[in-house]
Amino acid sequence: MKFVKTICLFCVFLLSTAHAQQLEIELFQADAYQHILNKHKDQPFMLVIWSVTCSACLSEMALIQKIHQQNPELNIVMLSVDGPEYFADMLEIIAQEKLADVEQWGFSEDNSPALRYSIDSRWYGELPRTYFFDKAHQRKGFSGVLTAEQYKFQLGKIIPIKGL
Amino acid sequence: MIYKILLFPLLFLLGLLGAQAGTVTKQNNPSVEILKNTLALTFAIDGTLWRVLPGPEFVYVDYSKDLGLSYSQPIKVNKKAQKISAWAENPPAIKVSRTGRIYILYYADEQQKSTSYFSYSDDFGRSFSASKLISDHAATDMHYMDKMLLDKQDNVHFFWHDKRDPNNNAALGVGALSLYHAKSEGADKSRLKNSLVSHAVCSCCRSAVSLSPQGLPVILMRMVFADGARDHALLTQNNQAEWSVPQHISDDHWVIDACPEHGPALAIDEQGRSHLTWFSLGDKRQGIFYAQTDNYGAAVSDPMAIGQIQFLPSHPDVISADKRVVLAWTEFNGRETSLYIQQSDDRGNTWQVAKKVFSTLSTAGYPQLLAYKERIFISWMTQLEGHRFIEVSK
Repeated sequence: MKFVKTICLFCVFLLSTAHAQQLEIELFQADAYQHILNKHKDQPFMLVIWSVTCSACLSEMALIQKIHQQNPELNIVMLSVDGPEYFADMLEIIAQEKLADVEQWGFSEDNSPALRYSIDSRWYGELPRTYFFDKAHQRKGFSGVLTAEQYKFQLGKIIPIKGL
Repeated sequence: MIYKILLFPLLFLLGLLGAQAGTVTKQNNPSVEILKNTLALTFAIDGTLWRVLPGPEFVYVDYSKDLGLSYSQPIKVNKKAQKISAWAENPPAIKVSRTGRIYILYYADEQQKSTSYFSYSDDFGRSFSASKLISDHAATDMHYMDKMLLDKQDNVHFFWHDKRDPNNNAALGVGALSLYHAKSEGADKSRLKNSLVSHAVCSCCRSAVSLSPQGLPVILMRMVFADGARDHALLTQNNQAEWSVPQHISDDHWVIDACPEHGPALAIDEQGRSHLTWFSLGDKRQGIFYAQTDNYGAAVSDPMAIGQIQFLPSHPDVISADKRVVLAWTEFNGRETSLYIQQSDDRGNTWQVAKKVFSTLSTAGYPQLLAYKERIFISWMTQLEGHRFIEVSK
């Protein structure tokens, strides 16, 4: 597939005492949103959009990690609106927040309005932005930090929640 | 990516070979790589147009004597390489005092990300002072989104968002910080004493500052109110350097714990009318708006919606010169980002029809309006077309 060929994978190997883990950031280009939908066809998933310069986004990371840990069957896709020049900072944050095994994407062009538009034509770029997709990919989008209760409520609509 | 990496050093080397430092080249696009289209400009009193150009490791300054048709070779500000930080909401700044001192504000990742620095030149940009920290908590507390202002006595003021008071902002959510201020002191006007202006400033939206006709600073900022609304407020300083209680200037009621990355703009005319423009996705209104106040927020006109809401009007700027007021903003139609202006000839009472000025298929910085005497100019940098600078005709 052409898209896959053009993907640049920014990788680091996180060396821990237990194992080495590969961390990858895929480049989010014009057709990437459709690619993500195709990849998760017939599956519910949560899309979390963030930035390394968004303090509100960073405050939410621990909760996202908890959701991931307690609901491993939930597909989580994280997408940073930061361009490749910020990928090193992204990798550092992702590793620090123990989200390395979550699907990670980064904008191919920093904070590009065209890439934002490819996801949501009514989104101004405020962050964090979270979308909950059901199995049929009917989606509901929210701007701002969500509480554990709000996550539980929205996730409960798309998957059987095990805990939070 | 590889193309870009090779191109910029090559252009820079060619620039060095072709001209001695300080000589003028016939191109208006900077010969150094600019981070995220974030260059900033100012006019000196003699009409020289000065630019600050943030690159990956150095910040540069150049100037134009012909209103942006051509610029001098860039000169480095910071002597040692640093990891320079800049994004659209957090750009560098440049101001030139009446005596000709050039002040530069820039950011670099040090112990804290995006630590703010200032430097100055007393020899018309041939050399710059060693860069100094602005915050006296620079090593321990993140601080950024500084605004720089020169007053009528040529004192330089800085206003910035600071994380040093977490307990004072904790109840308002993660995105509330404190706004700090420093005014230059000492014989060489380079000593900065930090002081608190207000808690509860929205962390991700740059504030706007201007001078009242009396020469005192006025701030327009997005605040986080007790009910979680991120609406705007005006603050003024009196002759005893005390700050007023924030005057709530809009009742948008945007309750959100987020980073809007969408700060306001402010211009104050010679009669003391404050021209305000801002963005909101509140319960009561959504989009960008203009309003005016003759008493710093005690009474404010009804907000006027700007732009075409279906094209996400964003990042407005405002300027006044005599009775003229000009607004500038960007819109995105799904393909192109366009720069629009709208102007008033009667202090914002009536407005002409909005006009499209430029468009680009690439990413773009925020528009910046500048005034020199009664003339108004607009600056816009885009990835594809580079830097564009034109006069806004009446």
